[in-house]
Amino acid sequence: MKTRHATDMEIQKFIFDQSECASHTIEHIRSCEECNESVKSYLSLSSIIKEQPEPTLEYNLSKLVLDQLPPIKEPETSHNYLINFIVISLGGLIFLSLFLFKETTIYLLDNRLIQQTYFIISIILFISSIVVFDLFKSFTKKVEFLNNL
Amino acid sequence: MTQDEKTDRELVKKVLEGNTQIFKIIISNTQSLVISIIYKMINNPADREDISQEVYLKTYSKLASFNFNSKLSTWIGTITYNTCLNHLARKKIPILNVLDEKEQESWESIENQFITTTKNQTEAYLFRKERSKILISEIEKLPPLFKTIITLYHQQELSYKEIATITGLPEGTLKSYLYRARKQLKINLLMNYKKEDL
Repeated sequence: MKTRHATDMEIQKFIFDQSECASHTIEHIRSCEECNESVKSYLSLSSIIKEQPEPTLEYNLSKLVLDQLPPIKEPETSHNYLINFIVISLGGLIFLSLFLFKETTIYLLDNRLIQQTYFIISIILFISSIVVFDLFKSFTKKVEFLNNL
Repeated sequence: MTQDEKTDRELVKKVLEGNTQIFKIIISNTQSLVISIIYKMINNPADREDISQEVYLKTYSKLASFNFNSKLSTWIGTITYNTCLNHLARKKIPILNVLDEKEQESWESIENQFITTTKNQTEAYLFRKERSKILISEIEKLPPLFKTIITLYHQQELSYKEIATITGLPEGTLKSYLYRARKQLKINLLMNYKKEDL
């Protein structure tokens, strides 16, 4: 069995974190009257702190806060509405153009050179739209962050 | 999903749907924790009132970004602690008086000497219930960080993990600060007794 008395830290570990306390220290504290006194004093200290009344407020916090609440911001929803609107508008525009200029469209589809040109242009437009969308997304994130400051 | 998390999700969802009256429930569920932190970190009563409102207004405006990685009360506790830290930084008040190594050594040697000579006679006296008023005033003399972690651990009965999340301290550091805080409190009480005895 350990003969020297437990240090203050060992006493505290014995009380509050016994899993971290060495077994020989536990054995010593249990059998040593002096170390037991220290254990008792820390236990009393802990229970007195626990029994302290909690601070009471002299004002109605809920009322003060609720009176100041602004309407909640839901950036995600409005953001989704905007994207949906843009996608549906673009789809409608393409459909309308194809319907109005169907003869020209049929002629264009027959010509291989024009087909290739349109293919390249559509790829460029597709990549550009992804880049623009990404920029817009990071912009809205930054705006949201600044609003929350 | 735990019952706490389910309740937190329901409350947050309702507030985000625009039911601000539900926010009152969030306030009453977490007020004790928020007030405990503020009262231990901030001394000026007027500042306490302003900060308690600021905490809940921040909570409300950031509620949509709460990701349920912790309990709602822990998250609000973190907002409270950080708001208090910012306030103390603006006022240039340190949250912990750090002693240099030499000062620390000499302080510990005085403590050890003191503990050894007075231990048996005084400890029983010191920790009797009627000494609780002295204890309150001695807790108030501790640095803000020590006061806060002592209260969160012993009075609010939060786990190390929860206190670590609120304060942003690693668990090892937190435990070491708690040991130091309790020891400092004990020494202060012993010194107080000695003064009374003289």
